[in-house]
Amino acid sequence: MDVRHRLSTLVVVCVCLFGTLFARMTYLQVVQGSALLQQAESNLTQRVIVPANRGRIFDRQGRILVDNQTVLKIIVVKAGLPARKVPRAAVFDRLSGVLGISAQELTKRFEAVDDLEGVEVASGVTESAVVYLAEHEEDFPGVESKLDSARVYPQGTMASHVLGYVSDIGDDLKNPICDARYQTGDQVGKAGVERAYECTLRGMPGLTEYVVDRRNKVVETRVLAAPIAGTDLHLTLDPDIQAFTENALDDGLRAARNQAGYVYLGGGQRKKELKAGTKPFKANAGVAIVIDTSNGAILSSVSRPDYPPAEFTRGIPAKEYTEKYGSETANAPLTNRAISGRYAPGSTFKLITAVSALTNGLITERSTYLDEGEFKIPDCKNLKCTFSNSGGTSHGRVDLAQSLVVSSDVFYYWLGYRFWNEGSWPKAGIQETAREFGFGDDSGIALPYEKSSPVPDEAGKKARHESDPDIWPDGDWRTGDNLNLAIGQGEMLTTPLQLALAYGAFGNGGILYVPRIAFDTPPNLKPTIDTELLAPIPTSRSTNSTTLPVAITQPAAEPETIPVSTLATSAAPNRGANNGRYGLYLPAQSDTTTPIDSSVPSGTDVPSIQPLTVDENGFPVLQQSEGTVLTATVRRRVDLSADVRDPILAALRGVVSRDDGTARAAFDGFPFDGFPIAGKTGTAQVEGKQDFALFVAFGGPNYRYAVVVVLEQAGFGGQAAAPVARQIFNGLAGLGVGEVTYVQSTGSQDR
Amino acid sequence: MALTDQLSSRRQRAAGVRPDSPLLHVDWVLITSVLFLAGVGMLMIFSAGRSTGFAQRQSLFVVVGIAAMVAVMAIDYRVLVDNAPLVYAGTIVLLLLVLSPIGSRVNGTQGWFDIGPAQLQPAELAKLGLIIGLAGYGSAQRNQLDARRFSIVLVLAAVPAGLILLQPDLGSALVFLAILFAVLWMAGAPAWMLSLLVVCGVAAAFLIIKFNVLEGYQLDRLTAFIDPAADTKRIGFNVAQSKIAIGSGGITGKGLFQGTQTRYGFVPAQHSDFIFTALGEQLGLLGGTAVLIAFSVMCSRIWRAAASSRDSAGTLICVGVLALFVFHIFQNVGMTMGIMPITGIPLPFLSYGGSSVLVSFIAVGLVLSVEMRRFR
Repeated sequence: MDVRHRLSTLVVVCVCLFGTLFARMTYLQVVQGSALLQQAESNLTQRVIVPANRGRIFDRQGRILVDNQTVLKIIVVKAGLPARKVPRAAVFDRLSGVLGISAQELTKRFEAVDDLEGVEVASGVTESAVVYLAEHEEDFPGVESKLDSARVYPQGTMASHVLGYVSDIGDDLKNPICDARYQTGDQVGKAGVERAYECTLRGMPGLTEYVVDRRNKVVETRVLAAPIAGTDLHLTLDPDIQAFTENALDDGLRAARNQAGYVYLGGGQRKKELKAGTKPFKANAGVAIVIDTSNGAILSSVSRPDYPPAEFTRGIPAKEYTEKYGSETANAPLTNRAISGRYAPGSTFKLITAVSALTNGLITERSTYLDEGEFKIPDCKNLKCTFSNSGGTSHGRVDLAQSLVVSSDVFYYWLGYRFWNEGSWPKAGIQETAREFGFGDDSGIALPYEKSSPVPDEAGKKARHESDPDIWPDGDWRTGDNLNLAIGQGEMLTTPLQLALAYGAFGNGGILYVPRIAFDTPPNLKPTIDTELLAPIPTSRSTNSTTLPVAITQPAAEPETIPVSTLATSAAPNRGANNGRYGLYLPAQSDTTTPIDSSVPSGTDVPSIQPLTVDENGFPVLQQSEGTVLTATVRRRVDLSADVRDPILAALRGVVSRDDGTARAAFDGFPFDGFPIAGKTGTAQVEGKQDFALFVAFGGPNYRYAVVVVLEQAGFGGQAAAPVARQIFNGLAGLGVGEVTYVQSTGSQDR
Repeated sequence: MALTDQLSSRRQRAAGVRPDSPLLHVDWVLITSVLFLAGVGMLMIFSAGRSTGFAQRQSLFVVVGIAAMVAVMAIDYRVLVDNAPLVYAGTIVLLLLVLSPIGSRVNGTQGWFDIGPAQLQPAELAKLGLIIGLAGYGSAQRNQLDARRFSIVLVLAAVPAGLILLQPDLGSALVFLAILFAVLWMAGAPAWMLSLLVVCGVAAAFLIIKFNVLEGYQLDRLTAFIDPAADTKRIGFNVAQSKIAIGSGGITGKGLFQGTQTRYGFVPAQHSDFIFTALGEQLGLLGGTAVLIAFSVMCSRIWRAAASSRDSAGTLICVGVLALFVFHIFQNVGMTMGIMPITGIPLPFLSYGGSSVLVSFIAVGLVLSVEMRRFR
């Protein structure tokens, strides 16, 4: 080959090589251009969901019960950490030096959770530590900081069961409570109003797009949708009433624990352990509720034992959780016994039997029955044919009033027998009346985990037997069942709230309200931003931020509503989209998060009891924050004629005021003039346990307040529960709230 | 050819200069294309970088490079060819010295001399030394290449290549193979010799690719000089990001200073080895084509010099330089577009780096020296 030829070959080679480069370049820039441009855009941008500030929770006087506090958290992302053991351990060592937490502990926390998104290893970190980490980021690969918001409770454990708590979303992520975007690591309401009002409290998270460089440094921030702060929640709880209710219940439980106790053995027999010091009452749990009978608002609600909600914000290790909240000795502190506790109403149920008997015409107020201490079922073929009073006491000839005042069981056995056996009245008359007063169904309160029990009846017993004959061998409703029902024993179970509502309805003349724990809230925000913003990033290079519409949908039509306490102040006629109906509740755009403050009280702070504002008669008036509205909902109007209500009301007033009244001792010296009180004691018998003491009452001008007190394993209702209610009424009447005094056994049994 | 000769003869007469004077045969097209490329390079370094420091230093390198080019032009290439053994020996000495404690180690490669604030990479100079050495030996042998002479040529190339591999710098060693191949081809080597070289090249290329696939310290060493901070386990990421950057430039590019991929650090070494990525992203297909055309013009002028040289030594020098540039261009640009493996070979005239700029200008100076003396 000659030189010319070889030179030509070089040309061919060069042309081929340059042609290849040109072809490749054209392919990338023309054919794949737009796809690669999209990749370049997504390289740069990270979309981050910005949580909205959670709504705060206030009491009815406008005092803050739950607030937000910003906290700095340290997150470790597995993908960012060095892969090899030694350099990885070195990162934790250095981090340990900055945070003051041992490297072992940090490693343990990191390894405890398997989350590729990152694991929180420290919370409440100082700002200077975060700044140091940012300045030395090359020494801390995989370590990130995050600004988060945490719930704080300025009132400590006050009303903890009502407030509930927030914690990691966990399994709720699969089944979200609200139509809002949730993501791993979100804090959501798990109990109480935090859960019930999750959707309004949560607000609507925003979306921010960050333009980042290779090292994830933010070079530009674009707000695609600003977060909408959650709506503040105004509870109907009155802080003063709540405070003295809590004190009275704690006091009552303490007093009962100093008493000699006994165990109920069944069959009306109590193991006598009445000698002092032999075996004190356990009195390890209790409930006290005060409601406003004029609209169903809950003024105070206490359940014991309780828990500090702040613990759940921080997160509790599983073992500690079980120990504190799940073990037998812990006695279910997380349960809100006011709505989830199922108790036999005992003698407090006699109100229902009495109303039913009068309404159905079994008796008149003048009918009498001879109470000789026991009731024998005529023509009895069953095992148990004789039902006796507590302790076998004989009350002599009793009429309706006397039967309630002294709490005669025999009188009600007699009524129970007649309902079932005589045929002239509805066989299930007692059950019908019970359902009229709201037993058997959930009250409809906006709190989670309400546990109502069906009112026991023939059909229910049969159905239960047929579902599992081995466990329930008897499917027939017998006379004995009706006798037990008549005195609120046997299978009859109620929550304390149901009891309070039923007595409240009787007290206010027959209106059964849907109970309310919070004032009106605006309808939930319905997000329309989610699907739009999660769509693939557009290829356009426009960097303008977009405003996205947030639609507000009205809630479904409600049952009959009557405005009860619309405070006539400047409820703001014109407040934007909501037309002023929800004046105060428009999403607060202002920052509801308080800055880091180490002086935030940490849980033991019990508020002092403030003197109440009083009206012209000297009675305390319920205060209400400006602009809050409570639109009461009537659940049912109970047909309660004066012929029925008046004699029973007189009798219930006698329970606390007449010398032979079962709660007389507890209300000794109470000024009933102008502040009338009517109530009923009850003692629920639970086999193998000490007696549960109950007292339900309504009182005050127009019988505005209904109070229910339940003390588990504390003795008779008149002994243990009525004195607690007495102190609560003292508070409601504006009198001094004093010590709860356990009533020692008197001549008559304080059923 | 005849017309230009007539034109230049007229100018020579007017200037009173002899018609075969080298000054009358300077290839201004070649010089223009090279200066254009260097200008584009400085612009890219300025617009893709995050500070002006690199661009300023690159301007200095370019000025020094132009001066070196002029100086080399002034020297008759035949003087260099006559003293080829000396040039070659000097190269070997430099390569030995850089392996000694006098040289300094950067990112695991023992390949630099620290000269004041600047650094000199003798491997770059050695490429020129090899070209001159081969031209000297090749032109001295009047007869056909036989096995003995082929062995000598192989040894001539193998000694500096081996020293460079010791640094280690596999990329530069591959350049030696390309130069050797082109020079042997021009010297009329038979097919079996070239086949042997191809086998060697394929084996070396296979090694590179295998190293890229493998993890380990060899790979780290091979790739560390691309970007010291880059995660060497993410070579694939770098190439993917480079492709994204070039592709996202589209036809017209994103505009100067608008290359998000390069400016925000998604592309490693965007001012040196990946300068073509910065170009493709900011100036698009149009900018990329302009640079490829400029390179084509440059190469065609070098080829022209090779073809018009009056002796075989000049031809061999020009072909060696052509091979040097073509290999660098194809390997570097191909790497940024994902069709060649990653090696730390810079893009001539565009990539930031003193040694690369200097050697590129000297190489052009050599070609110009050959071409301007084609008539005497």
